[in-house]
Amino acid sequence: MRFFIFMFLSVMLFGIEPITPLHKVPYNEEKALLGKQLFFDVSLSRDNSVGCVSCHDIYNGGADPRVVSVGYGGRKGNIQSPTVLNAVFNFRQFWNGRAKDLYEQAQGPLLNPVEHNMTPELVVLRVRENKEYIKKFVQLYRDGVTFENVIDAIVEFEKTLVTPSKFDAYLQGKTTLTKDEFKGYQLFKQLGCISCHNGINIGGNSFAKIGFFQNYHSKGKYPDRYAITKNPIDKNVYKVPTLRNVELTAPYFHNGGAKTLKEAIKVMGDCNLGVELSDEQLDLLEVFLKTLTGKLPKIAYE
Amino acid sequence: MNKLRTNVIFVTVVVIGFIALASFYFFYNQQKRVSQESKEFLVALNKIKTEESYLELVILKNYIYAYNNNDEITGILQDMQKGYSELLSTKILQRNRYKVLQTRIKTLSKEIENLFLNTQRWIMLNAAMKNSLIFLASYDNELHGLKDKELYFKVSKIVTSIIYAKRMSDFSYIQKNFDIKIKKDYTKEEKFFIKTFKKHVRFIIRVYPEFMQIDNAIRKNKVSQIVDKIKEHFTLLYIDDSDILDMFVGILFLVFITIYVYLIVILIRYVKEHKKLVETTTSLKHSLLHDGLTDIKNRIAFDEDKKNLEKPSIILLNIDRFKDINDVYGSEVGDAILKDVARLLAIVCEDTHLESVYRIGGDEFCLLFNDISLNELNALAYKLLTMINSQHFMINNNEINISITAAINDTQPLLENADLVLKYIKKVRNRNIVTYDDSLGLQKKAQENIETINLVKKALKNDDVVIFFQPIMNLYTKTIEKFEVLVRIIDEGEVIPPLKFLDVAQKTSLYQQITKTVIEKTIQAAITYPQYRFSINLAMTDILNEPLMDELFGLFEQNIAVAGKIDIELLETEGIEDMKLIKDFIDRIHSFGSLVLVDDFGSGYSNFAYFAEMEIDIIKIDGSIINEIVTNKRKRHMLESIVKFAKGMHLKIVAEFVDDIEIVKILQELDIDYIQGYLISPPRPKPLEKVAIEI
Repeated sequence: MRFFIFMFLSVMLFGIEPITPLHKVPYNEEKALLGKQLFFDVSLSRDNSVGCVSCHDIYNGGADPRVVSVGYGGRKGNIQSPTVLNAVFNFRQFWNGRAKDLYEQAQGPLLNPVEHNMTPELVVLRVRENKEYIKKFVQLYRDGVTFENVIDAIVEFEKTLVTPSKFDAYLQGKTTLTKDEFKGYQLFKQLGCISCHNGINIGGNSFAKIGFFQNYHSKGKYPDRYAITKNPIDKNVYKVPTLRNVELTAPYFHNGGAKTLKEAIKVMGDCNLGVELSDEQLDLLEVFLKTLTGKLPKIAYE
Repeated sequence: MNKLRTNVIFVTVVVIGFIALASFYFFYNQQKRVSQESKEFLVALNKIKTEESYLELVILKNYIYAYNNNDEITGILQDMQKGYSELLSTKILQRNRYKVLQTRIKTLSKEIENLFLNTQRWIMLNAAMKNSLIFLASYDNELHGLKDKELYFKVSKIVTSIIYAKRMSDFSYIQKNFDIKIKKDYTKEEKFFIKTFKKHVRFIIRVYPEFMQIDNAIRKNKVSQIVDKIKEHFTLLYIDDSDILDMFVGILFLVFITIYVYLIVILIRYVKEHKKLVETTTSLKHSLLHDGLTDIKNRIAFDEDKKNLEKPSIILLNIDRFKDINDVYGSEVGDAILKDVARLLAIVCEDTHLESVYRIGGDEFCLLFNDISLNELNALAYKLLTMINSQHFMINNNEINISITAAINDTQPLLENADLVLKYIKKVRNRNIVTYDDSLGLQKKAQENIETINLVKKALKNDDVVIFFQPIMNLYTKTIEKFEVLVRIIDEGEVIPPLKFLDVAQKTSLYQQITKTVIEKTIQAAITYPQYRFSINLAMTDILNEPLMDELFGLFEQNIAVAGKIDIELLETEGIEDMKLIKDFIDRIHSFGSLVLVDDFGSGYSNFAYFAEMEIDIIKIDGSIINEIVTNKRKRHMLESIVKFAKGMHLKIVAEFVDDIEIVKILQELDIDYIQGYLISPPRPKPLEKVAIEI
């Protein structure tokens, strides 16, 4: 009985407002600080050229302004780097969702030959070179420096990267939107953007095909859902990206095909909504999307 | 030995019992753990199932509402996957017998993965279709100004068909052949809308079958079904498992119970044995305290019972001449009478003051009372006496009458005093019931007896039992020829005559020692004074006393040289029936050369028959005749007759109690052979060699 009452209530609540405000994720402060240090540490790449932060600049939207990132030995990546901000709320990680969570994700770039090009053993060796690291790991982890613990610390830091925005304040009734912002939000819902970009992360909780109404032509081959499932229906299907801090994460889409936010909105209208958006609509939507730009947590500045 | 074995068995059983209990506890815990693990497993399974049904509900919600929050649906999918990971990590799957479940669990994994993929695709297509539908629904708003009403209706019809199809989930409703041509007179907006409209309709027609297919796949997902199958299979395995565990526990429990029962059996046996022991003890106690013949209490019981009474008093009963009854009718009849008397006493004395009836000795019964006056006791005793004396006991067709004597006593020592009374009655024979009274002096006499016995004991120990010699003179030669040996005790210089101790001593073993001492000392005297003869007094009962006779003849044989000098004076000759025994004795005495003398002849009822049968050598005429012959003519005649008899029988004659010379003259006249008496000499500690007076 209680279950059904709960069901009914949840249907009512979530049915009414499809976007939920951000909340903090519990984390261990000391591990997070250690993770931050590792996140910024270029020694975690084979040639000491890149750190996590190289492609996930947390001070600039948590993503990479380059179309594709450059990793070990100047090698280029095969996809646009998504933002690390609020990534903890994504239901899957990577564009095609091949990682179940941040722990799986964090290993990916470290071990990827074109990115950090490391091995777990090498990661441990590199970390052990730093006495301060050893001291902290021994302090915080029963088994000291291990690959798993390195990943754990990084993930602990990533958990802190939650960026509450004006729109969250609005949802919580702490502020009001400007007329245009409000109109933009209404339009966002009316046009159907909300169908995919919803939930706490305004996206990041489902997969979608780019180009329902019109093929999204992109040069090159990108790892989509099809690469995993081999089901034709999953061709050009990617994880719906979060729209938080979207103002800062240009270029857009998996291939970095849209250089500006407005361009990206237009592409979405054409390809996925099947609607040619007017300039006025584009402006309003852009105004609304800018309310999603949030503030970094204190730890980012410590 | 047997006890040791029992102990070993007992310890073994206890040890096995403990082991069984410990194993029982172990298996019980094991079972508990398995049951806990199974619960954990089932919880994980149920979680998957619950999430699955939850998923259906949320999908339905997503389908209906325009807005949806995919966090919700994704959350459910993630929870389901989490449930699966939990299921995989349950401990019970590590157990060998549950590994068979792995195949089905793998199938479940695939099914969950499929459900995840399909749901994601469903979300994707549902979002797109929803958007398109919302767009299509806006046709009325966009085309309400359209002059081409035909087109308007066409559009309306298409939208309606799509909405129907969606509502009915039936693709066949969708009107696929639509022919919408944009005419030149349409406004720019109208043209733009229709172009977009056509795009969306085409999109829906293209996507809808795929959507339906996915929707069907989701609805037909087998997660729940597989979960049920796993559960079923698991339950079967679990029941099997529990069966084995149950059996183990059962066996252990059985062992435990067996041991428990065994212990109970041991306990019962112990209790039984204990009971038997108690019974034996009771019966022993009974037989200790009860008389075997009459089954009434005995003397020991009496001694116990009287201690518990404040004012005890007794009636002590004695059956008169019971020995005669035994002799005449046999002891069987005697026993029967004792039984009857015991029964009768118990019946008659149903008095509230009566404690109990006891058989004290052979024919002695005692009734113990508490707090009763002597008068009442007297009345009761009288009643008893009358009752028993008038009773005709019928035993083996013999009618037997008995009489009893009763002693009443409330003075300590109860039994001893009463016994004295009975003896007193026997002696006096004038009453049947006598109450003990200190004034009877019975107690004193008893005390004297004890003192006498102590005196004799002491004398024997200190060699104070001595012999005195009274000379016997030959009246013809006027010389002393022999001495009568008389026993004396010297107590602190005082000479005690046998009158004072011999009667009492006779009832004890001391008498034999005294006699032995006398014989030994006489033999010693005979050795010291070979010129004299000596004579020792023996009662008839002494001759019947075999050990004493053995002693006598033993000493005679050891001193064969002087034995012939020692004569025997026989006392109390009346009442002896076994002539042969006496005859043999006399013959034996003669064989040593000793003579036999009958003492106190002429007193009592002297039996002349002896003299016919036995070879008596000498008679000693009783002193009561001798000391009166001077004054009493009758006695003198008696003496003359005795002398005549003796001379006729060729018997020598001794006269004793010869106190004056007058008597001697008469005796001389009558040709008496020997005289003895104070005229010549009283008994002296040593043989007198010369006579002081002239005869």
